[in-house]
Amino acid sequence: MIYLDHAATTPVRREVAEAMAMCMTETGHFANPGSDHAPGRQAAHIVEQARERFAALIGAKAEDIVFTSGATESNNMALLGGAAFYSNKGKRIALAKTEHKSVLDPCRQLASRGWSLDWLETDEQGLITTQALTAAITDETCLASCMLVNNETGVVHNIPALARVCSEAQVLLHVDAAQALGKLPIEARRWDVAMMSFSAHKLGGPKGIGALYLRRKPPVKVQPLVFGGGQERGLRSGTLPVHQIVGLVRAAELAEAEREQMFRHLGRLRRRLLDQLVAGLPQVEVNGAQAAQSPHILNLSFHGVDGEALRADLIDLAVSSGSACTSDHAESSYVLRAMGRSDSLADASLRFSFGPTTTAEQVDQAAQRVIASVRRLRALSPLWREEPAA
Amino acid sequence: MNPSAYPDKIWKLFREPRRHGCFEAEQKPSRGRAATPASHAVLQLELLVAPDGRIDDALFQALGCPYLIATGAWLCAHVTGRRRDAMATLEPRLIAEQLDLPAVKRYCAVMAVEALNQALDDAPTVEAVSAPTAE
Repeated sequence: MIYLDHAATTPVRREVAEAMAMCMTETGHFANPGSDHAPGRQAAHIVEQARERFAALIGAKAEDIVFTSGATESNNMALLGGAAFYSNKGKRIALAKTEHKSVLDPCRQLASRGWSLDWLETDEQGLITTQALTAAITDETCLASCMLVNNETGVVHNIPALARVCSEAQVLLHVDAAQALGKLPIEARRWDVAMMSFSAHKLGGPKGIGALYLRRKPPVKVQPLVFGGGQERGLRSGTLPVHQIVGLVRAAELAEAEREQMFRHLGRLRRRLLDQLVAGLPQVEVNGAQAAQSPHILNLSFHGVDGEALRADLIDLAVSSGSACTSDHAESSYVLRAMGRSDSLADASLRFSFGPTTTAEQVDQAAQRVIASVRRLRALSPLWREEPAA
Repeated sequence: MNPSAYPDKIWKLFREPRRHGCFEAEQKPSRGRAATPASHAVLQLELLVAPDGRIDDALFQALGCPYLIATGAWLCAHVTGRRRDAMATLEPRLIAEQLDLPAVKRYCAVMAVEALNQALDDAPTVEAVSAPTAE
């Protein structure tokens, strides 16, 4: 099996697992950080150290960081909690249809409670421009949400420019940075975003832990979604999982230390796969922006094949797509359709995503398997020879 | 045990579909084609029907999911060697049962019957074959 699905999740790095293990067993820092005894205070000290180290990695201060169960919770907290706090300005949110479902669904929840969603148009590469954002913002807009790196296509948004538009309009900008941490430099305070979501398991950390950057200067407030023991300054109750928090921060530190080298490595792998597929197959389309692209994701559409059949045929290749096949007319990737791709092309797409452990040999093998499958399915098709796509 | 999410029978027919392709034009195959709206799925069937009404051979082509490809392969194997009048009454229900098609994939059986009926209609009848050609 060749695993090219690192944008879905990554294996936990050995160094991370070892650091986590130190906080789990009787001989480690297993105590409840909320307990007022020596082991508890020691655990709390580890958490606060981790908070400072994590904040430093994203250009923030420790007081800006709230630990959560992952980017989904962070996105929910930012949007539902932010909307609840700031609804007196107006009940409008600006966002694009290419956002992750953990952004779209909380916003749809808000829509069911009387909020209006103003959809940002993306260009054909899936990018939101400052003009589109400016056009969508009204006097009643209190929140905008834009992901830093799109999880399906890997396109990178110009967050500093979009944040300036929001600042001038006094709109709070939330950024889903789940796919960006460890891949791109992040400067939360300097970019002047209000809230930013992170996850550990996309970069060699464990599942079930993430963080929300919540700007303290000037302060951004959210109403909590989880109530109880009042942890995280009352914003997110629940016993702090010391081992998970240590895992998040260790993974993020390792990724940051290797970031520039890894950027080049992933870029070479991406180019290698793209070159081989384009050389081996006619009628292949790149979904994304060549000029503003995270190197760990390559999203391609293949003319003349059925998406479900292609994914089924690639049985020994772990890749992904945004499609959900349940009937004759598969529900193709909503992200690609929002970018203007036809249903057929959006369905016949594959997302390849690379990680530190991906090798050139794996990429070569993947390319050969994809070429063989696409050729086989095109040969089976009654339309391919008759009407090859223009 | 196959490694896919598909039933064994479907997986085998999808991965190793026999009787796919087209006949040579001089073999004068009869042809039927069924498609879903916007041609998201297309099934084409070609038959060689003998003057005595026996289906001598069948080939298919398909653009679609593994179930459709498997259905095309199954259909060709099923009709080959059988009589055209018997196959004209083939029902989608039988195909769906034979292939254990899930409800959302029953359309594959419907497409198969539609392509088959078109191909049978396209095949010359015995009378047409034996009728003298106009000089």
